[in-house]
Amino acid sequence: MIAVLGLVVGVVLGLVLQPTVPVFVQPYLPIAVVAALDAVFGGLRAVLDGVFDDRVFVVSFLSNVVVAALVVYLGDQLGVGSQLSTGVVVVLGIRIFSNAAAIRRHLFGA
Amino acid sequence: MSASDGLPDPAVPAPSPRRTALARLRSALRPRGSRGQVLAGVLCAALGFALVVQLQVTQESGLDGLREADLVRTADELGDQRQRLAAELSDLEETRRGLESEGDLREEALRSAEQRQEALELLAGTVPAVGPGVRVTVTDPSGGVGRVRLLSVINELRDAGAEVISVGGVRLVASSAVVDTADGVQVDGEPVTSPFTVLAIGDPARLSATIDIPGGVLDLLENQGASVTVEPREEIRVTAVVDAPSAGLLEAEPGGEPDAGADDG
Repeated sequence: MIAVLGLVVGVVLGLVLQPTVPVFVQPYLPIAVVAALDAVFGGLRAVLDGVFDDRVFVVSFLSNVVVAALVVYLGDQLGVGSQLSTGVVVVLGIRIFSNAAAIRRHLFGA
Repeated sequence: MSASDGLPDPAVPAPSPRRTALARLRSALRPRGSRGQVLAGVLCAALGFALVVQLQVTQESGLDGLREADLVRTADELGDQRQRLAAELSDLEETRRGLESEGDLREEALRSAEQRQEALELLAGTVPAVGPGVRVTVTDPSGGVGRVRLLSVINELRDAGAEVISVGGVRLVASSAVVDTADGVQVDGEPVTSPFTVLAIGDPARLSATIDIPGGVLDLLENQGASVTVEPREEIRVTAVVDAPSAGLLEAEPGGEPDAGADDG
């Protein structure tokens, strides 16, 4: 419940404040968002599996974001930033889809 | 479990995975003040915030959202494209210039060919000619002006730069012949009888001076008992023409006119 509330609060804050993204964050923000989405879907699945653990969620969320940003940063330094971020998005997308499939099976039994 | 209230699946005897899942969802949604829940809420707030911000950035930006490498690549591509287009432009301009100069050259060639044709036609005597010149009238009652005298007149006129000459209504061309016959002088088979007129197109002053020069053709002719008048004119019309030779051979004269004298010349 608090998580859902937090999500709503965050969206509202973003809409109200309309912040400008610092330049050095710009390349990593989309990847970080996707990684966080992956963590959230993973957490939702864990809830439905009955194995949800706050500590695991927080750690996985933060590590997902940090690792994704790091990978993209490393890619940028190596000159393969765009390819690597594509790869990260693909991998995270696959994970989101599989998590979404597990959630669907739990909620709708199909 | 109260979580299964109102769910329309009483036929399932054992608690289905679906029902347990829903129950877990409900229990998870129940607010608890635990530190983990609050942290998760904060993280979710951060996620929502970042999501919205990123959406706005993506919507509002064309090039702003691109990373540096992409920008460099885009700039490179645009530069390449510009170079390609500039090269294409210069190629096309060169082609245009080439075509224009080719057109100029063709016009130039056409003009010079026309000039050559005109000059050659005048030279060949196939077209009438008009221009400043002199009109020399020779009255020769005694018939003392023979081939030699007439040729002297013609040659003097040519020396003085006469471009077109006709004698007694006959155009003089490269193949013209002046011969003595029993009946008098013939030019290209046409008898030249007194009085006859010599028309010459050229510088009138020079031509008349050449004729009039002391000891020149005027004196020669008058020594033969002929009287000569020289009239410089601003416009002399030479309407006599000769037929153009075809394929390098002169055409046979129509009407079987005698031309044996010309052959002799």
